[in-house]
Amino acid sequence: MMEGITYFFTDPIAQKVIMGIAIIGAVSGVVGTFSFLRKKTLIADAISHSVLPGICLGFMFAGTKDPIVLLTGALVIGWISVWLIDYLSSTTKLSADTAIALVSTLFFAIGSVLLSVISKSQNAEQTGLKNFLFGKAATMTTFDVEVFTVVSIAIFVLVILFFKPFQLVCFNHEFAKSIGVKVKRMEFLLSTLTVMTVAIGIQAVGVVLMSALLIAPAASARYWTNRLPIMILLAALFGTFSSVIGVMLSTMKNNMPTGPWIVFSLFTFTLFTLLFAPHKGWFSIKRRNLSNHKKITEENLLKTFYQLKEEGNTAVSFRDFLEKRAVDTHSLVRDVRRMVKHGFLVEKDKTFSLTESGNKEAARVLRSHRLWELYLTNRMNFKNDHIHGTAETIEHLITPEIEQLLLKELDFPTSDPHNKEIPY
Amino acid sequence: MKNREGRMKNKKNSIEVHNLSVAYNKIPVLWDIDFEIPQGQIIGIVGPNGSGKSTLLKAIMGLVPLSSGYTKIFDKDLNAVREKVAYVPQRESVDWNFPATVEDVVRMGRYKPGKLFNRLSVIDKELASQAIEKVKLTPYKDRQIAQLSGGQQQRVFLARALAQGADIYIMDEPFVGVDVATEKTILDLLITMKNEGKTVVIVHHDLQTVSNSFDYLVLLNTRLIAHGPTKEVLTEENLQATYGGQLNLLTKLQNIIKEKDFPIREKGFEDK
Repeated sequence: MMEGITYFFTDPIAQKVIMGIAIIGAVSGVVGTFSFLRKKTLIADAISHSVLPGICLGFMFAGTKDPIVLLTGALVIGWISVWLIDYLSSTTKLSADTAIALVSTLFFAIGSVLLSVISKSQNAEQTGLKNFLFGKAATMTTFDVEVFTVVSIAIFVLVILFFKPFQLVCFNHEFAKSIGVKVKRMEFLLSTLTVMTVAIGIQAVGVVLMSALLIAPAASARYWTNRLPIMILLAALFGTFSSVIGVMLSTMKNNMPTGPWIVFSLFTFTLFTLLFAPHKGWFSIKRRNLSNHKKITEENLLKTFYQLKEEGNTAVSFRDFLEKRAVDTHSLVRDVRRMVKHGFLVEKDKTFSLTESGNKEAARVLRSHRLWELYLTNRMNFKNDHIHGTAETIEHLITPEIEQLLLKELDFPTSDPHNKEIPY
Repeated sequence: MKNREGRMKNKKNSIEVHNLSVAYNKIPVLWDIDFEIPQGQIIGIVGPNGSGKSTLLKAIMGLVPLSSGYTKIFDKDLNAVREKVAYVPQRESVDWNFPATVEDVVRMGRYKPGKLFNRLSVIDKELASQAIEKVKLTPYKDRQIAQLSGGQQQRVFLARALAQGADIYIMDEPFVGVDVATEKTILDLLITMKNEGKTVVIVHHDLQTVSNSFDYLVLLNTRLIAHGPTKEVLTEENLQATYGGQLNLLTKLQNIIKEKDFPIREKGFEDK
């Protein structure tokens, strides 16, 4: 394993492959961000399937795997597929996703036919053309990598130059048009960049899986930031890392196709994001739910102690509590102990009572509950027998600011609709 | 500054719409609309849902193909006066999950097509900040736009238009789904803008709210019902025509046009 990794950073051929795939991953992340934001990820998928006949035609034309000819073929055919999808969905009754499905499968079928025609020919150069299906990074020659690097730099420069119009077109194309941006031209340029990215990526990733490299980094990056420039940088980083790791894994596994391993490592990144991203990630949501639940339980507990006190019971045993409010005994014991530790309750001879701070907090919750009940009857015309359920939840949500507004709006009331005193 | 305002006051109209017909999804939604509106006033374009109000704005902004007619702003083609025009699209027309902050969106108001490759200048950034301040969003300037309320989002769009520093503001339903505070903020701003000599054109769907802020009205229901100073136009008869539903016969004809894929104007027919 370790030798495997050192190999990649010492062997000149391996270095070249890594360098090529790293730059392809970065470009894919950058260009894919715009496809993602324009909600054109399906088009990106269609383009990557559609360029196969372009590669084949390029090879048939040149007779060799000259990257410049193959790229040109991919570019031309990729463009025709974009145009055809656009034409079909705008002039016929076919919806956009139907047009995408039809065009991409048709082009892929043509590509497959051409591929078998080529493999039956006697051209010795043709071996390895099949690698374009699932990708093989190791087949990249030094010249390939040089060409890809030049194309990538061109794409980066275009994205930096056109950042503002691209941002406008992705966010609000009507506004863009209203200030005089040539929206059609910008969309054409964005599609061209996507086609170019696919064209340089397919040798390493393969036409079948290339769209993953365009889409997954952008989709992950969106979870980590709310700023477009940072999102683009993150997508580039995710793309690079996934591709490099994918290539290393595929090479260690007996020279398997690279595409699937890149997809696996992309998916790992995406999964990591879905689990751990701030705010929208799974753990973040879980943590929020837990803390909400804890807040509700604790506040209900204190509230019940307060209600028992209103009824004259100031030394509450577990049994007293359970008679007032049926909860799980085991959790009750645990929660009461925690509230004792936090200083909201004190224990004396197996009974519990509110401390001063516990009393204050409980009064606040009950005040929120009763104020909200009053608000529901006075302002929202709820009937008296309908207000309790809602207030049970809302009482935990009322912030000091909302409480002040409620107090002002209800003119500092003294009793709730059930004629219970509102504690201050 | 003075010079430009002086020149503008000599001209009478802010927008001229001439013989305008527009089809949407092959159905004609505007029939031969013909009117002019003045400068320096708050102008309401009012009509029920589906009456073609938004399409009219889009036609004026060159966003939809015209079946017939033309529109002019300050007596010129849109392209000649683009920098004097700010357009505020409907709030629902964009995805607010876009990775941008309030400040990012408002700064878009300073983008100029000729200078898209340049960085925004200090002045541009300052103008954007001032626009944010005018709509009272300064405390929210670094918020992601999805985390705003509907009213705040509407104010972001308004701020972007203000940052453009235009002479005419064309707004599509700025009062839809906004809270009372936003409605008041917007109305106050509109009056300030009017006092600065700006023209404000607002598409609005009902006359119950905010209509007394309009100086001038264009009543629309696929056809032009009336246009003129609010007092003159607000008659029982006009309101009946605007809100009394679609014309039955016209609806039938629209459907035939759609079914047969028929053009609204014959080829070669020139509007005089």
